[in-house]
Amino acid sequence: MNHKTFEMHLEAALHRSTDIPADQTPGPDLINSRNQGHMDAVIWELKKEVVKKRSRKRIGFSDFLLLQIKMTGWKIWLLQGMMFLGFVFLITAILGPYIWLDHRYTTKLLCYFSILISMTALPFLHRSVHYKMQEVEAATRFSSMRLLLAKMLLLGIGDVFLLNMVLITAALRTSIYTGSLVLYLLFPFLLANGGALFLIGHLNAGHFLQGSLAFYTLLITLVTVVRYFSPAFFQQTLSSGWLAACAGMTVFCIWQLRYIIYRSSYSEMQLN
Amino acid sequence: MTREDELIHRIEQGDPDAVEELVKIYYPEILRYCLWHAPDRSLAEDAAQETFFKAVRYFNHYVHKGKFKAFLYQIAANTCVDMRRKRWLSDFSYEELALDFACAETGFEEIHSNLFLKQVVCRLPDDLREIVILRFGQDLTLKEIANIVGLPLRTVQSRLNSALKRLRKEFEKGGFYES
Amino acid sequence: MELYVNNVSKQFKDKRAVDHVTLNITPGVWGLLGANGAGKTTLMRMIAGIMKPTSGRIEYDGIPIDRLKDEYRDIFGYLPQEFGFYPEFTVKNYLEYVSALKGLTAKESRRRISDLLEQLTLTNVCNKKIAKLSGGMKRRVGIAQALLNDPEVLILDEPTSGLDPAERVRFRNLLSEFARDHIVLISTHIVPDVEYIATRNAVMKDGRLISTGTTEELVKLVDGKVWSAMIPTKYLPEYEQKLRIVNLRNEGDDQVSIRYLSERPRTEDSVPAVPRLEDLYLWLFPQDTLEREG
Repeated sequence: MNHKTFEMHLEAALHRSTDIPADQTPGPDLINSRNQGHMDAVIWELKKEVVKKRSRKRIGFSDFLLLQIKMTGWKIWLLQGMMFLGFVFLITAILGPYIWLDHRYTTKLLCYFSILISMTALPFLHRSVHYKMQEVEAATRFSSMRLLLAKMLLLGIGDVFLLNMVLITAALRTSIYTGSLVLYLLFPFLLANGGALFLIGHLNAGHFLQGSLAFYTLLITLVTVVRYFSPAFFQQTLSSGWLAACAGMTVFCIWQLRYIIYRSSYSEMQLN
Repeated sequence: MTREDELIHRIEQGDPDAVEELVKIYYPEILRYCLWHAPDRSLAEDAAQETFFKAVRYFNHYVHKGKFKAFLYQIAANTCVDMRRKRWLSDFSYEELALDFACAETGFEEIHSNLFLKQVVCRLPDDLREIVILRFGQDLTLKEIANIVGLPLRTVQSRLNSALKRLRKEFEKGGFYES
Repeated sequence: MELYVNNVSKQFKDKRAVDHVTLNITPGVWGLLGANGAGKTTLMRMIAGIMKPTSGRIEYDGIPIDRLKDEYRDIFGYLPQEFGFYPEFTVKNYLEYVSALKGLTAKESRRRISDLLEQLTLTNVCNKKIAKLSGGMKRRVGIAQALLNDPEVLILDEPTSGLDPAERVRFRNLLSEFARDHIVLISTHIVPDVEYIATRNAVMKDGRLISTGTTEELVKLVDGKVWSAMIPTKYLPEYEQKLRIVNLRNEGDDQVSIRYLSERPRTEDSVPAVPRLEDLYLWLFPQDTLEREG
């Protein structure tokens, strides 16, 4: 027997096997009526499900972000603004109003300032754990990760705004080369953020606050130490070496961010 | 294919009538598939219903462009495996299915050779049997079958060939020759 | 609608919190009983999808939940054992905040919040700061949050701790209503809260599932081990040392009726008592003190 014939036999055999035997139903036209009955039931249930699903439309990340601006954004920006004013006020009070025009201090102040700006993230990153909201947040559709990203975006907007404002003011009021101003705002900021991102991805909730406070304290101490032992450090320009360093730090930040998103168990770490 | 894509698009928008059309297209063959994998007809109907239900629910996991059939069959296969494991338990074995066919067909104008073939198919090892059912019981192309079982086309082809060889041998041993 | 916990374990650095638990959860109310530290919270967190099992899988309708991701959390409502609120939140703020996190559209959010405020009698306090509310009300706000996305599965971790008896009754009624075609999983060490509404129970000890079944089936495990007797009040301290007394009541006349657990009767007039789920619990967890109602 050849292939084709055998396959035809097979097809015939396997096709007919699922029809209802003739002796169990009154006639050929009713062979499918049982099928029909059940199929109609399936269609009915599915229609209900589709309609139910329609009412379950969910918002996307951009709408979520907009909502976060309304709910959390203004709090973040308020804090950042207050920190900025506080910093200005404090320095003016301690070192006098002419400090801002004294070129010897400008770059150092910028360093401190950009580190402090980076620090404004801490209260918002730690809030969920401090007020025990993290479990409820984790069990939602957007969950802790996307909430974190939203917060970081909002913080970033505030950071960029303030840094630029300071940059423009310093550029207008002092005669320091703009490249240097950029360097002393950007590099410490990237360094601080890089470290913070690393800690977010690697420390669980219980240790994050202390760990990050320790890190920032270290950073500020470092700046202070360098001020006294190597003042030339604050007279640099934005050379290609420094540009490379900034680029390197940026890559590091992005790398840590990707780690948080794809590799770490961020939500789970918040629970400990 | 474009008709199907249009229906799918409408279902995503929440159009219940599109669902009705899609079910009417696929229900008979999915039911037929489930009949091969369930102890009796009403359980097969349950499995078929569950399959469509899940398909609509988990629509977002479906990758577009003409692979809806494969998606549906995959769900049907998983559903039957799942139900067998959890609810039908020991009620089901392919041996019994073979015997069922033997009994059910009395009174039906069944050619003896067809009966024999069905039993032999039932006794094939799982992976070969599945491919034979999909190819000759469900009329799927080899490419579609490859998508469903998640194997390369070549493997599907070779398994089908070895299954056919076995079946032919059994068929000839049973004394059936070209009529 | 079916949750299948398939041989799930969770290993922490120093201990195995959940040890090869398999559970097939169907619609209805499920009570998860066990002492503190038995692994209930860890198991629930894994079922909620916020913690990953070290081994094993959890499937919803046959699909692993880590593949479902967002969609799973969409059909899911979770109330953790410990939960708090940002201090500036009013009830309404909080629910709007969680609504946003759950991805509800503005319209859906408004509708659900007003429905839930009414169902849980929180309408009067909707603009009050949550920090200022009573424990029972805070818990109701927590439950409201879990129900915002109209979940099919509701998981509540110790939902009744801190509630007064009246609130517990109200809570039970609320749940019975909801559980009709939903899956509700409640963990508790307050057995009476679950005894009347749970269709099935699972008992956990040291991370392992030691028993599952309906209340009747589980209670059979202590059949013939629960006794009641009358003893003179003056001997009570002595008996308290010797027997595992589950309940006692002053009968006047210097007599006290006691209910205790034992393999065999320990006093002359001991009479077998009809066992309750509470008794099973204390039989399994003798060190645990049981909170009683009223």
